[in-house]
Amino acid sequence: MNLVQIENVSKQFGDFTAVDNVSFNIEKGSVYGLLGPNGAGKTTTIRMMMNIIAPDSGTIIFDGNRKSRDFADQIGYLPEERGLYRKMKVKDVVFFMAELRGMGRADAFNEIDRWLQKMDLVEWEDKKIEELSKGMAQKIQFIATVIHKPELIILDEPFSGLDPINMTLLKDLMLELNTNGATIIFSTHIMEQAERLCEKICLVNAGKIVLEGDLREIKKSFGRSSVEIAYSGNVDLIRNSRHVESCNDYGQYVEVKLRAPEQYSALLRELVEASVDITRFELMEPTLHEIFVQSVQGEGRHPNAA
Amino acid sequence: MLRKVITVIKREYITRVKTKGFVASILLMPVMMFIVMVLPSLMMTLQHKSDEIKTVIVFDETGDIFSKMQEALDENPFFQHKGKRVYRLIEKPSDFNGNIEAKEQLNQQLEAKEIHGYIEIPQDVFEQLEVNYYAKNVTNFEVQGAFRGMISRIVTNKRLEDKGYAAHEVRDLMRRIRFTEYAVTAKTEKTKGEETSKVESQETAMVKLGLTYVLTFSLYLFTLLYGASVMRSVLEEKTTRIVEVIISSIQPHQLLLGKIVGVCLVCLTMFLIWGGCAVLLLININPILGLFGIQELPPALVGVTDIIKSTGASAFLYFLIYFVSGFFLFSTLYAVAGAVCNSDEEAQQIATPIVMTLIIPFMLMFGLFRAPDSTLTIVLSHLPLFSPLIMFMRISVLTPPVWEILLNLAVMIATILGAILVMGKIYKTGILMYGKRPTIGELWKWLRY
Repeated sequence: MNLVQIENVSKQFGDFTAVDNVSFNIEKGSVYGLLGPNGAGKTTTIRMMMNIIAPDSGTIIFDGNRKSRDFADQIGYLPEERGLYRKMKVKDVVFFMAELRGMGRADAFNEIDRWLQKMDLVEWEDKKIEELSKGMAQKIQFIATVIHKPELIILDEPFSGLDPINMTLLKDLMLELNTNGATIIFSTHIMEQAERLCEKICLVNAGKIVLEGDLREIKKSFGRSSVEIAYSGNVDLIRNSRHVESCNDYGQYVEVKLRAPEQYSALLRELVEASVDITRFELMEPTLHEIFVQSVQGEGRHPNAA
Repeated sequence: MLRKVITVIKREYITRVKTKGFVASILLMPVMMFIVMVLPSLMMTLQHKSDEIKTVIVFDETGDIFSKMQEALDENPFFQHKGKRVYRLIEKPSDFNGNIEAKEQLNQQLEAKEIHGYIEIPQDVFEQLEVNYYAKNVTNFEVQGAFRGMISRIVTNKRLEDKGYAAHEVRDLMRRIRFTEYAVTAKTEKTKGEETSKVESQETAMVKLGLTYVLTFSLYLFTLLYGASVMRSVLEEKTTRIVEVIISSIQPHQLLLGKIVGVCLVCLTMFLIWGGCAVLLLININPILGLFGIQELPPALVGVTDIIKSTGASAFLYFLIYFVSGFFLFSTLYAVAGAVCNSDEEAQQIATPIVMTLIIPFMLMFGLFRAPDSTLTIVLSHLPLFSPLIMFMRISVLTPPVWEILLNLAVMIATILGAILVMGKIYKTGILMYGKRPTIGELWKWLRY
């Protein structure tokens, strides 16, 4: 069942088309990645979902038949640029956010206590936001985002500006919330994160969807055009092969990009015939990064791509 | 949805009231008022009423005046405290003139506070009418006035008698008329079923003027301060992007309304606390003065407190009404100024015209005080942006007919609703726009979204 249905949504700012006839569905309980370079229209799409700005055309429907105004309290939204009321105390800020989304007092304070304990921030609850470190403030903002147990969590570039420890913490929290039933949408331009977290992705560029669907299937459809080969001998043999488009020598092994996915056996045969001593020959799945770069640059665009 | 507005109101209210600054301003304002208005007269009374005996040295070159001064000391109550003399006069030899050493010695005594002052009465005082008074403190007009009056009377009597007139007869003939001023207001009051014109004395009018001044100043000051506070709050939400999170849960105009109501309640809290304190002060004025060692209210202040008691309540009520309406109007403008800007500096700049619109009626106030019934005043009092200050002033000085006040309030309410509707649109778009400040043309477009 789809929690969010986005149909033919467009948004223009003056002469600039930020989002151009975009449609996609987000399944309930999934982790959905909205990917694309800066300025691709990710944030605009999210803002339209949040009803912050109205689309010029198209519809966005939540939970089958609800408009975003009725669904807003079931959404937890973390904007790309962070900030909280600097002069307010930690627990007052979080309580304000909870109450604004219709949470009762007792329930809200229970949740606040639980989250502060979980994040190890209990002794900071009476401190003002301006007294916190940047990392702590970001944690508090995350708590404020999910305090009201939203069905849908929308995170705009959640990993930007986080150190590796907090990045891992955030990733774990996202997966935990997802396990507990929340649907998560997040935007990013860091592909490694999306690769590990997402079941489905939507890749946008210049306001248009370039790729959309199940990550595993997308990868499969892109085929296996890269090979890692560990061997002893001269690398020139591989570099000069007519099957090889490019070749990266890492010392212990070479990473080879084939001209076409199906040519790996031809390359292997060529190497065996040349009596090269091969210790490893591995077909690699394309990384999301590669798919991203390829799709966005428009080269080698796959026929299956949306 | 009302619940969410209340959530916003609560946040705006509590974050302001729970600060040291708020508590400080609650405490400081009355202290400042007290210092400016009451303390000077209290200090005079205090000095006057102490039973410490003050020594004044008199150099009487005429040899005639000193003894008469001694007698006069008993005639003026100023020189007495609880039936006892508090001033002691000592005569010094009359060869003072030119004796620098003697003067130097007196000055030292003055410095050491052994004497309160010394008076020099030259030989030719009856012709030249010149007497000199030396003291550490020459700004205490009461003391100087008392001595001036005393010596002047003695000198005049002598001059009259030298010409062959009986001094007390002349004085009796020279008595001034009593000239009492009453302001007759158009307002009629029903007393015992009969309509009588209300008449008030000059003194009442002066006190009312003072009260009006203080209240109008407060209207101006707090609209300015707390309007800017609304602006900063809008700006904070915009620059921190909090507004993006909030705005999906609450409609922009509800957020705006919540903000304005919240901050308005902060001001009302302050006013009610001060009003309450004023009432308590007026009721318990005598015990409070007792704490300062004063048995009873100085007569000048009795009149003041009576007038405040009789007119204060209605003045305060009108003050609250016009504060709320003015605050709603101006803070809406302030909120929009915050919404279209990206930084504090920018907002300050854009808010300047708003501040000007507030300052103008305040500057005009003194002129309008003099002509509260002029066409200019009446017209200005009905312009919504000026009405909070000028109409309030008109009401306190020369109450216009009830229908005019009601009409004015109706116009105000309509203007406020219109402003919230129109400005709300700019606010709504502005809080989500970053980068360059919009041009007038763009603002016009926002209005029609």
